[in-house]
Amino acid sequence: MSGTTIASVGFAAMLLLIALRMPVGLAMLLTGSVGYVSIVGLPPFLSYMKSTPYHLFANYTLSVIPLFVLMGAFAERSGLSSDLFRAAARALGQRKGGLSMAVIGASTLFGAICGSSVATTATFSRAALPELRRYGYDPALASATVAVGGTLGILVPPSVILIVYAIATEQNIVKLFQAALIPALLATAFYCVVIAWVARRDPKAAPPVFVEASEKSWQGVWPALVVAVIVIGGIYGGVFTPTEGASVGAVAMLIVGIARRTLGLAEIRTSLLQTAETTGMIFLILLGAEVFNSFLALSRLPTEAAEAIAGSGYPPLAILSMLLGLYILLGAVMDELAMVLLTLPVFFPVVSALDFGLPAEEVAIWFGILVLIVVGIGLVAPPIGLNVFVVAAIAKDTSLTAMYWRVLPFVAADLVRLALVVVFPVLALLLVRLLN
Amino acid sequence: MLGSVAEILALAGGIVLVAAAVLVCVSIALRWATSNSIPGDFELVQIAVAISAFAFLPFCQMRRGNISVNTFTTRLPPWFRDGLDALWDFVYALAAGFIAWRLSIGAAETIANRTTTMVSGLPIGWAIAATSVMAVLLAIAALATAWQLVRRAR
Repeated sequence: MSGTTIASVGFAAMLLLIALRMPVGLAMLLTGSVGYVSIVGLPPFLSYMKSTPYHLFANYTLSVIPLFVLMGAFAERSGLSSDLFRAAARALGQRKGGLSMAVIGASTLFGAICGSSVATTATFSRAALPELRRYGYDPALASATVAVGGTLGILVPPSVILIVYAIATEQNIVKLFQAALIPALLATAFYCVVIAWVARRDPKAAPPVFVEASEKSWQGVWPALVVAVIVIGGIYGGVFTPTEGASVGAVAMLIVGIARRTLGLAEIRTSLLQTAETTGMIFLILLGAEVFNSFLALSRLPTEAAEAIAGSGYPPLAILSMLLGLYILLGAVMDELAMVLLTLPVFFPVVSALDFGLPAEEVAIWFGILVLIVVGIGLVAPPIGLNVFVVAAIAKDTSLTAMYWRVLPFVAADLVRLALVVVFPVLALLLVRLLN
Repeated sequence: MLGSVAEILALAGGIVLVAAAVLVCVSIALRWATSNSIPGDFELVQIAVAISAFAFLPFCQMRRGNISVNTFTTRLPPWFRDGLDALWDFVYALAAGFIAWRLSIGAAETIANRTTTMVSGLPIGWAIAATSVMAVLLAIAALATAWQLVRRAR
């Protein structure tokens, strides 16, 4: 059998195992191992496994992931999200749809501290959802806003998905973080426009309200703002590496929480266990992807597929649109992290081989932002939007179908934003060019 | 019993991670104040993250935190789904046992070679040995979760 045949069989076997409920990371690890052995034999594989699991986990670039997860967990447990929401609600509540806009605004700020969309969704489900319902917002709209706002957790840097993209494609994390900012702020603006439109068409669903909030909520907001600006600004400006920024952020959030007496021993313990569970989940997938991707590289499937597609004569933008369409389909049924790690070894060489009239590094960064946007869509789009499930687990009385109807206008806005960034790569690249 | 061992190990891993973050902060402060950071601080972070990540894996398995796709199996009877999950737990235990075995050999070789980190001169072999031990615990945790499912089915 040729390498590409073995790789195709390996891919099919892995997808079958995943469909049969095998944990995604384990499925990649297992099929990757069998494929590796069938191409180069057992002794090289045994020697590969002597050091790889350790050296993969001891990778300096990777160390940024658990540190950012830790920072987000401290922020979440110290009640930052409810302070952010209250402050925003006081400022915006009187508008039609103002409380929904407050969720989006607070999620944007929280996203600058937290790199995970599920964590952002979960924390605002607890901090904001009950308030929106108390003030008479339509429950499905309230849930949809929280789910959509949750995607800002990854759209706004830091972002776990972007870090994983940077590692898988050997790109500069700092430049990817820079490139993500303008598209993320566009997302915030677009979501607010959608809310304004929904509130005008359906005034009963999102009535203007007056929110009483004490000065105390501002006291919670400014330390968080300072931490976010130091971490993101420090990374952008090259004052420190992403790992250093994440360390500073984690320690700062811990100190802020202890000083405000919102992080006691019990909360710190919960934060650490939450970090353990999330990090363990991510690292198993990273280990599986490492072994599976080594197998793919040995099989030469990625390079041959890239050559075939690049030589097919279709216009680059058509191929890119097809890949993004494929991502949206995959994202509707798969876990987003695994989807990115599984597809990049094949898709990234394809995109790199296409000529968009941009330098290779800019294409890589631009594609990373496009992947981030489609991942965001996959997190809320039916039938399997992870964020919607997270909200639904808390708002048990609201039907999933009703929530998905309320999510759809936001998905439409995301598709418009995706098209804009495809047509105008400068939206992603402007900040990178200015800062470097 | 095993659940609390996994939890204590995860908490210990979390404390190691926090300690690494504090160390980095001290190093940055020293860099600004004296333009000399802690030599090899990034190597300590690497070792700390590798050890804490391995310490998190058994807890993640006990909590069933690993992501799997259940879209295509929702219509299967519950006993069948539990059976599949138990089977995959068992496979995970075998994989973790294999990883522990390979890492133990890697650790023994690295210790024998006296390989150390470039700047701070820390012996890497002992860190690999620690991850090998935690891979054994991961295998035990996966067996325990498989056993829980089998017992529930009976």
